[in-house]
Amino acid sequence: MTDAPYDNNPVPGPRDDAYDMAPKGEPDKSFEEVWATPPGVKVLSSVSHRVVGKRFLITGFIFFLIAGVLALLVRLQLLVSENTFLDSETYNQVFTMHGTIMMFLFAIPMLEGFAVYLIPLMIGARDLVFPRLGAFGYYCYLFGGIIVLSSFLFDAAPAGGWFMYVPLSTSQYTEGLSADFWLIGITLAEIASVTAAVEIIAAILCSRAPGMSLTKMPILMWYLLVTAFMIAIGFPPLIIGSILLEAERLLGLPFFDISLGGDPLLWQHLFWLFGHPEVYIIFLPAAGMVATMLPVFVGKPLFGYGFAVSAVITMGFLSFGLWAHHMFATGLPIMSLSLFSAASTMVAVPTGVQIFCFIATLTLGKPRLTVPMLFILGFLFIFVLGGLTGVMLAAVPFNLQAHDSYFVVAHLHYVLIGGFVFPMFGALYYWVPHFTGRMMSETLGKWAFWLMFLGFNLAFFMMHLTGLRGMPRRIATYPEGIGWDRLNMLSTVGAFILAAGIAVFIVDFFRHQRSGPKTGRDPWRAATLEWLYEPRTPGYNFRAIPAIRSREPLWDQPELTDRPAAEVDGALRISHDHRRETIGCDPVTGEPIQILRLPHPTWFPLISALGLAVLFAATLASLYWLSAIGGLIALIGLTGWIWEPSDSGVTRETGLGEGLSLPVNVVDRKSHLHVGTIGTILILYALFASLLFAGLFLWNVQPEFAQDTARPARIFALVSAALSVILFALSWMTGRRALSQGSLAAGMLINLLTGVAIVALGLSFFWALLPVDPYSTAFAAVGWAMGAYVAALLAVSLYWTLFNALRKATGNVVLGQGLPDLLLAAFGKATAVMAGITAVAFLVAGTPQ
Amino acid sequence: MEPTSDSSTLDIYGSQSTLRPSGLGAELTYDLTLAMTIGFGVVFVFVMLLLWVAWRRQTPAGHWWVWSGGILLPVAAIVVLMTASTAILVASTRSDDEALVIDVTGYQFWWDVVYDPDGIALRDANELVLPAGRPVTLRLKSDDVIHSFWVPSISGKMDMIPGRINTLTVRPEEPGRYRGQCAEFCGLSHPRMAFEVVVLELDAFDEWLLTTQGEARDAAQPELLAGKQVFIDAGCSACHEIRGVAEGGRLGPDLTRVGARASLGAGMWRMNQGNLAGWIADVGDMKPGAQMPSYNHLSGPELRAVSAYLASLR
Amino acid sequence: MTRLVFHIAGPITLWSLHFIAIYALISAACAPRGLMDVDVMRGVATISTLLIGIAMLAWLVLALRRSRRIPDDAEERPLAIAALWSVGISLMAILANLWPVATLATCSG
Repeated sequence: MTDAPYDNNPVPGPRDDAYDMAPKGEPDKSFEEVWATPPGVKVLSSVSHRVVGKRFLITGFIFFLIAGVLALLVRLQLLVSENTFLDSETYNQVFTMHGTIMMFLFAIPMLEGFAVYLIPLMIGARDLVFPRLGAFGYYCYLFGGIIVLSSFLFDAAPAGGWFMYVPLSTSQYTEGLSADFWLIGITLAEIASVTAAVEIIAAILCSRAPGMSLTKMPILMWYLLVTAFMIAIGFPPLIIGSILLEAERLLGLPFFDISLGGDPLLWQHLFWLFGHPEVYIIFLPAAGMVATMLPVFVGKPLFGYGFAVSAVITMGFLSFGLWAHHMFATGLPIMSLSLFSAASTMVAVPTGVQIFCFIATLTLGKPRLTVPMLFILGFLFIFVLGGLTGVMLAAVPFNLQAHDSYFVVAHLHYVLIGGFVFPMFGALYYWVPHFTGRMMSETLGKWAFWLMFLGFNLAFFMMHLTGLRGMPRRIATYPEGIGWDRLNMLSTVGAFILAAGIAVFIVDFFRHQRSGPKTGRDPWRAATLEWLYEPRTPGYNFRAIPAIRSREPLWDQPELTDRPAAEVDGALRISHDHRRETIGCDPVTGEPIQILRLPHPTWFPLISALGLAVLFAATLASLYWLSAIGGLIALIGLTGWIWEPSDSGVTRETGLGEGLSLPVNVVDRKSHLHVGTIGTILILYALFASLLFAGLFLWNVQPEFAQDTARPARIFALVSAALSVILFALSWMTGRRALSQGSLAAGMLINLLTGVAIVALGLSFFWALLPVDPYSTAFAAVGWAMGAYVAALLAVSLYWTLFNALRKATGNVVLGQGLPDLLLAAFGKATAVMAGITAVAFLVAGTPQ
Repeated sequence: MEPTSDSSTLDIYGSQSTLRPSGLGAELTYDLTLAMTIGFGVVFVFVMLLLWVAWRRQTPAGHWWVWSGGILLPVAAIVVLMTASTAILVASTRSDDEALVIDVTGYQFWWDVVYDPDGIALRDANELVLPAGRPVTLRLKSDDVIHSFWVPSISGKMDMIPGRINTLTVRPEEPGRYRGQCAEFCGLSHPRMAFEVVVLELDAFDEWLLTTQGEARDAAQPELLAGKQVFIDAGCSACHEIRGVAEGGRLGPDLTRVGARASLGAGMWRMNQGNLAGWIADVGDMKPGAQMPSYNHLSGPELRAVSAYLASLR
Repeated sequence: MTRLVFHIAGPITLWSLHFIAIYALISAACAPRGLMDVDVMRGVATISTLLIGIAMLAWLVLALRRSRRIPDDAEERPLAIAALWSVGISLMAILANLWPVATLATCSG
């Protein structure tokens, strides 16, 4: 770092009055009005991270309560042996929906809510970098959740378990729509997860306050960054698995059909490739919130910031090497079991590092026993216990006994409730004053904690024993006298005590909104930027964005706290062009490199999500004409979304340093848009890798069927490979020209040439696959799935390149506004690489062995 | 018809608990469980004590806290654990060429059993008779969805996956009765998919195998004869086999010695005439999702006769 | 500082490549297709683990020296520490990957 952090010699963009304006500005509005949340029903068009974040939190919490009620139904049913409270069908629906809602519609959205709400406030930004994407993600989640939940109304609630194992979930054994409700609804809701991943990565890397280098980021940002990358890699296997299964149910493609070389274990691999990282995706942000709150109540910075960073990153990676420990009893070779067993135990190392960082932090000062602190202690108690039983489960012989027994139920609830729900309640007590401007009750908070803590341990500790006594999971009823009666009764009692604790929280939440004492500035004496303003923070978050010199700015930078927050010095006090703006930074050093223009409230995210929801719901109902209409609406929404004048090419004063001016939406690889595109490409590669894995797996495990599958046409596979190279070269040229600001006409020509190459590539793939009958074997079906995936990528590229050409032709882009082409280039290159790999795979498969 | 209320299985079966091991795999795993519980219990108490010390302590901790607690402690524990668990894994799954082979196939929601499939191929269902002190290789299969074979007292579980044959070598030791249950969620009546395991002394087992191979016990009394006729007339043999009476039906459990089993409906109900009659008249009530249709069109006497006949088959 | 980020993520990325390699090798030797003999697989796995292990040791030494060189109050200090620990954890995890190949005689134990 240099002494003058802002002096990075920014290259002033070309200043040209022809487009030096802000076509989307609202000149009649003041700074405050520009940032105001639209009134009335127009609030649905709001894209502010504060609004969207709270929506995620509230919706997620409602789903938590729904799934909690389902859990109580489960416990009521198991209260006594031979209970007839619920019949088997209902019980199966109830436990399926409990798991599904908790995992997909509560835990992930809840952490997204915290991330969306907190990230800009903690890193000194006025909003997330892709506010519309956040709003779009929320609506996808909401509509997906509604689809899943509506299955109850149609008496078609999924009853195949949250893991949806095939062949039980194929149409042969699950008739009707129940499994389709699950697959379609959850896939729609997962769109929110992957969009959130892109959003989190780009926001944390690209919009930090001036001077906030990686080492000055609040520790939570590291946790969220790693989580976001994990979502980007971890969700695609499930998305692919769900699509393959839905394609089997809907179109009869034999991906999992044993008689045609499909394999039930393929589903399990794909599911747990997602499912195991998912647990860490849920745990890490919660641990990050603990790492944020703990130092506040000790009054000293976190012990071992560097240790924690390494632990989080290594844990993120290691968690991908454990998936098969959910499959120890499936008859995998013992050598594979042992590999996954060893890898599973290794995850204890980074976990231990984190836990000991937390414990060591307590020695640094005199801890205050507040309500959030109680929940942190509860987290440590429960999570350490759950972690230890996790190491036990990594031992294969023990796992073979405990797997699918109540021991696992106990373990997973210790890890998930201990590792997520307790920190989450701590975080709610900690940040609710920030949401509402009022403090929650200390007394009721302690009641809530102790009820939850005691109830939880009573309910779930017993289950270790129930499991060791041989009780399998997911059984609606059990005979009397096997030794499970009393333990189950205690568990049920505990569950209701736990529920009472949550009820106390809810009562307190509604009570405090009316009569809670007003929050002063920084009520917890915290160190991070979100407490700079007296809650509730105004809609723009920061009137001026302060320069950051410390990881604990509110403790170490007196100029932030010695005056009213609105008077704190910083960047962008001047409102250029009456637009929403924030500072964009270098991903590593945190030096400001651009002024980032943010969108104002818009309906396009809602329209796009609604279109997608119609598409998904109509597919569920087999109304394909309606699906087409939904797809069209989504396409129109997305086109309207991106059809906007480009902001690049302008330079503006920031108010930092000696009159530092920065380009608006800089055309550079460090641009938030480019970083976001790279994040998206990461997801696309993970999707592709999942398909490739499926193909390789079937090839290796079902060799006879692979042998019997008709070969793709080698000549066209070869042509496809060549065309992929051409597409890569064209995309590379597009990117070079975007950065060097070449002439528009030439750029348009390259766009069109790219379009031609894409069409040719698509046709060539089609002819390569033509000899292969997708219904003949699972291996052939996976070949077609890869072809379809590449075709989808090509379709997006084609749309994009024509879109860019059209915008150049209509004068919507002028010289120097190269971002759209820079992004297209990155996407085109990735498409070319995946098309190339597919072509080579077809070539290899087409070669007689 | 209501199933009779004395459905408690405790007196029909022995244990379903991993904590009462009675086979080599379960015993080794039990020792491992005990050792891990004590070891990790100590670790847990230690960490909680440390938490308490940290809370009270005024002087900052050194980096060695994280070094020793986050790296050394887990690594030491992992090395010990992996060594023990690998040894036990190898010992408890070791195959044996001399082992008796039994095929067990899972169906929604019952178990088909074939003793010595390459030799005498003796077929039975929902009950597994094993010799004490002789290794047995179970070849586990499924013909519909995934099931999982689990007898906690004898060994760890193994999934039954359609399209695959998983083998599990078990070494039961104590003669007695045990309960097994399907451990992989397999649909509507997953909780009602259990079975009994009878472990006999080696001699007794050989004798059992010999005597069971023959045809079904003859129906001597008139009522039983009538029941046998109902069985044939009602078409039961389309799915069920009774050796010497109606052979070839393989869609449902073999009934040659149905009356000798401790339970009815795959480990769910006490085996007696009343429950048998109730089952035949209304399967769906006793086992939702079972493939068998209810024979509620049978008259009372017919029902009595056929259930008496089945109960007599031992 | 950018370099340090690579030094944090690098070792654990190497672990994931190693893990994938070992998983692929075991799958190649133990699945129905039977692409290679178990002992050939064991040889390949051991040699590659040794090579990667040596590289990681060198990386560890470098990271140690770097962490000594950077003063306690330097801004990039936490990242240097993180890089050091990341190499250490990754090295252990790479050795753990070799466990099955080193301890088991055949695919089935």
